[in-house]
Amino acid sequence: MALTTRTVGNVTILELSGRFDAHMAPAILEWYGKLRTSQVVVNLAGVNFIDSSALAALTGGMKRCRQQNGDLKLCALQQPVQVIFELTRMNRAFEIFPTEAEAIASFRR
Amino acid sequence: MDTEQARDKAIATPHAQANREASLRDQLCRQKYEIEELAGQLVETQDLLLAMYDLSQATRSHLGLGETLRHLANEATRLVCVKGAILCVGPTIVHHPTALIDDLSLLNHLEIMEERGTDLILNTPQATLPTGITNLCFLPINLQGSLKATLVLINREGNFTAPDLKLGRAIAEQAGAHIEHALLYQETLAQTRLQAEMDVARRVQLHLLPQARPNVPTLDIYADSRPALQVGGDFYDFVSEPDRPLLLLLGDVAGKGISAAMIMGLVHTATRSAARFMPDPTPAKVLSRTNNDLYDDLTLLDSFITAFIAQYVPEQELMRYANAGHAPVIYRPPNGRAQLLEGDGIPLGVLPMTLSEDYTLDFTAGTLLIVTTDGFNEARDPNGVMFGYERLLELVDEFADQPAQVIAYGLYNTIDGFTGGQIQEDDQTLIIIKGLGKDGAS
Repeated sequence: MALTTRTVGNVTILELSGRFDAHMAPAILEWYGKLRTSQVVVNLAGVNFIDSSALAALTGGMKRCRQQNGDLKLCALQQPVQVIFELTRMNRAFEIFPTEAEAIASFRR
Repeated sequence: MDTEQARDKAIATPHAQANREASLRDQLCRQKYEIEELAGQLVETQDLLLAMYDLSQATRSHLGLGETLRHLANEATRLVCVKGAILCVGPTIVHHPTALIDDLSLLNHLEIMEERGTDLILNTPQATLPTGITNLCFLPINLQGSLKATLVLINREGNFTAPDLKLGRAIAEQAGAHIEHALLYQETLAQTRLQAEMDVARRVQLHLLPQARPNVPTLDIYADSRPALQVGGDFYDFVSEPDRPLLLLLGDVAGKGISAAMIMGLVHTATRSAARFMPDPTPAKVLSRTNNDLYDDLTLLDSFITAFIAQYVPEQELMRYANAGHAPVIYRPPNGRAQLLEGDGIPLGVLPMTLSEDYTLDFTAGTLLIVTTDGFNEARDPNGVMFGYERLLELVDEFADQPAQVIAYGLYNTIDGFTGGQIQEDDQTLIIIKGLGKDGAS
């Protein structure tokens, strides 16, 4: 599991890869603590597995951002990850985009 | 001729005697020197033994790694007569009495020592040393496993000599044994704590599960939960109140261990109070109220709950249900095929609203509703292949004619066979509800 970040304008992009599970969730929660903006895009293109701890970590970030009038949006979900979002209906709680560019652009609307 | 020989002999004898005496004196001198040397070595060995004894005594009562390292550094400073000592064990660095050398220089020298693979002695004026440092001695400490450890001695009056090195090596060897002891203690302590936490979590979980199944003449109900080694936060409950329809619920808290068990306790209370005291508690209303009650707590704890609630309406042979992000829920109409019932609501604790609505299923004789947690479909075989939903649906069709309890055993046994005796990674919880019809026949 790897974690890299970039900034595009006011939007912070968090790029994850590998298995996103209980081992990775604490690192994500710690990362939120250092976050300066409330506009975040999590790019999941490299993530092939996600579990409930990971969903909880993403939910935590989404709540923090929305409290500060921002949002945490997701993009580029692989099929197995997409299925988990649909089964848990988490796809109704998050804004999910096919590409990173679309997710970033959505903040400018 | 005789006189000549005798004269020669007379001259030679005192000469030879003198030679013999000289060689004896030499021999004596050598032996005296050897005895002195031996005595010196004995004293040195005795000193060493005494020093090791002191070290053992001083360190014996200290169990934590930090405490052990502080004492070892203190004793090493005293025994080798240096100004300070450092003990490095993995990422832990302990200075005594204070940091005489900065971290960067320390790490650079450690790297050099590691490359050499043996002791490193840096005496002035030969070596370039950081300011305030006159000499340094780096001694590797052998530990079992991959962790690296080093004893650093700083500023010996004069310079480091061979006896200092000998003493230093002996201290490093002793220190190794003490450090290993402390590391082992630390590991055991952590394991004991984890074990205690798991025991508490499991006790909470077992305490919250209902002790008896509700008795409804037109339903065959079976429920069970097999907790994993590390409790996973699964729960189920039945709320049966006089003059109120029976509520059956099953859920899964995101996260594991004691925090999951605590949240389970909160849900238990919240759903029970909603089901008991709301004027008209439909499944969707109970989910919504539970979400309202727990939203702030779940936000604080960075968790959420997937939950499924069903409510039986015997007069109409109907099952009303609402789903907050829970899967899998399997429905099988009499003589039909098992199918997944997809939910509409998001899990509890994600948004201030649940978006769950009430739906109804005909629940006549032979109808099956099976709600499990993901411990079933996510169980893996020894090659890492997941059991999956398809196999679960086929299994339900296969066992559909059996009573609820037999279906449950069938599911558990099949999963156990599939995983091939590997450790159960997640809780496996299920509720099986089978319609018996108004005459109560299966």
